[in-house]
Amino acid sequence: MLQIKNVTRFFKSGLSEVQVLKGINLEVQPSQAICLLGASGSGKSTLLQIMGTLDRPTSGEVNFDSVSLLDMSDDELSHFRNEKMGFVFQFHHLVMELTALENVILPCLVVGENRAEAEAKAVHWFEYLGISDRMTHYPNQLSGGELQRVSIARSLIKNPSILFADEPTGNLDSENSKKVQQLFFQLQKQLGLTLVVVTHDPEFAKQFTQVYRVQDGMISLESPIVI
Amino acid sequence: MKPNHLSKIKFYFWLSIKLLFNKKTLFGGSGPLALLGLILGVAALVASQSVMRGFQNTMAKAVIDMSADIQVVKRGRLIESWTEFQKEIKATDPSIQKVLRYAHTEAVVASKGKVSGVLVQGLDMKEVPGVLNFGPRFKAGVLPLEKNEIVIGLGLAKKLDIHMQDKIYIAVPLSTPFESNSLQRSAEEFVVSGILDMGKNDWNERLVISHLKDLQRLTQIGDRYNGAFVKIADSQKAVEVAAHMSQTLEPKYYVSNWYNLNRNILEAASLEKIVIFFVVFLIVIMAAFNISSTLYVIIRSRFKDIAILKTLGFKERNIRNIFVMQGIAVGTLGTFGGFIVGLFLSYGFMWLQSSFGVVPGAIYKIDRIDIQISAIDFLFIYISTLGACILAAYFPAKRGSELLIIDGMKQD
Ligand SMILES: Nc1ncnc2c1ncn2[C@@H]1O[C@H](COP(=O)(O)OP(=O)(O)OP(=O)(O)O)[C@@H](O)[C@H]1O
Ligand SMILES: [Mg+2]
Repeated sequence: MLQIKNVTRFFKSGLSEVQVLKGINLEVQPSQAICLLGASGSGKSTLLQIMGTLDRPTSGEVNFDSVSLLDMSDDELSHFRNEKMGFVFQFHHLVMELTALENVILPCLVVGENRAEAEAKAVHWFEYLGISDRMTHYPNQLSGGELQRVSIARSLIKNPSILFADEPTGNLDSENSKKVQQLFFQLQKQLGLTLVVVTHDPEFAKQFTQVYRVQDGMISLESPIVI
Repeated sequence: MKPNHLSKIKFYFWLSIKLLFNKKTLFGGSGPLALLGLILGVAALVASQSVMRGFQNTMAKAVIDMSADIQVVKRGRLIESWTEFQKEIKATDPSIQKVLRYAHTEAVVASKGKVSGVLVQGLDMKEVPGVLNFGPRFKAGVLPLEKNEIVIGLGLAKKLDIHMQDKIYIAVPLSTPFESNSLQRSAEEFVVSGILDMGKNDWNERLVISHLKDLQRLTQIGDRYNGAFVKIADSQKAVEVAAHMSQTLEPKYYVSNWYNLNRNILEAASLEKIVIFFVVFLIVIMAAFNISSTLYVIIRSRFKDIAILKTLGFKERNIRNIFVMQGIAVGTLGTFGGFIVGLFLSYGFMWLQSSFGVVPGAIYKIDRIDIQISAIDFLFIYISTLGACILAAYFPAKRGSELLIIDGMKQD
């Protein structure tokens, strides 16, 4: 489904150039869950951003169902992301001035969807995630676990086919972390969602069938996992 | 508009308001000050435009009150028959409601040892209503009822110290056909039956109004007269109707209209109004710069939000529209706030003027400032202010929308 070929990403910092990714090849199959591991600063987030079209590589190819994503304009990519991709980050990144419900329906409203229909869809996800009594709360009135669930609801509202998560449990206590981990695999199994997850948590990583290690700008398959 | 577009615009508006009006921007930073600057600018625009429009209208009203919509005179000659001429005029255009003939002459008025040159205008007093509108302009008295009664303007009353019921002498020079280098004098005594505010300085000092019969006797012209005032249904159509009349009537008649009579002053006033608009609009432009830099700060603090909105599939244009919408919101708020403050300023001034007599000598006051707030002026002010604010918002909005997601995600 998602395939990246010979992807490099260099950052210019001052006179020198940091070579973060040096030629990555990776293919993600539909409904597969893959995990990216690696030391801090190894380039996991950079790779995830390139796979999720949030960043463009210095060179290489990014294909989705054999369509070259890098040939698309920024506007086309925005549309594509809106339709096909969901994102969850370490921090919830919710808009503080909006309620949980309003945050969740943003991806629908921006493409002109009817508000009532969008809210109905959101209500479904709030129920699914067990936070339906928190819909009208503002982010500063929610706990860390609830916030992360709201941002998961936001990533799911457009029924994406692939979900990217960059350290989604990095900010949670172990109990909430467990619940969120279970949730991801539940989504994969129940909805056939494809998962690309970056994590530092070995307990989380262990549950993936495919684990990749990002190191020295390269990527290697690492299963069974050794930490 | 497609329903999809409409709901998008509603969405932009909703989100921009949510991002704009919160504790951070309302009570902190330079936001409130920038808005206050805009409100003051708009208030100054509203007040200045209202005064100028009031001046124009007062002027136009004075002219129409005193000399009707259209005037017809015979070039260089007196007109003989009234019934025929009246018919002739009425036949030219269906919108003509009533016609009033008049005669006038240069004269000298003498009172209490002082003299002044005047223009005496003779009218059929019974026919005046429906053509001329002296009623509300009387500072004292009424139109002449009896023979040899006369109405004078405020300015003349002041200049020659004339009061109601005073006796004044009016002398008219008559040239005789027999002695080409001498003048005869025809003079009579008149009683002042009323004092008018004619609305214009020169009229107030120079124009006096008598019975047509008295003037005809004084000038020895028999039943002849100089021309006619014409009242039509809609004063705003005077220029067209006058043009039409001018084509239909014989060329020996000259047709003028109220606008033409005061073209110079009316055109100068509207030019002045435009110039004042642009000068005062500079305040709004200054305020717009302020708003622009305030929005820039607000948008900078939103980089993280912009980045996350982009990951959700917001396009550059979506982001830009949201922040431009903030400009529209600020512009609208500023205009309505400014409108209220401007009204306050205008009416405050009028109230001061009337209750404390800012201009002394109330009865002789000629240039009263009549403020007039018009919907067109307001709309124009709104559109220009909105334009300035949209432009002010556009540049920071564009900068913000061009933010790269990976850069925005780093902000914290
Ligand atoms: N915009 C940028 N400009 C310059 N260098 C960058 C930029 N973005 C990332 N880098 C560098 O690229 C390297 C990889 O960053 P990345 O965020 O991908 O690491 P990571 O593996 O996600 O680390 P962590 O586990 O701490 O999140 C780091 O050394 C970082 O400093
Ligand atoms: Mg990272």
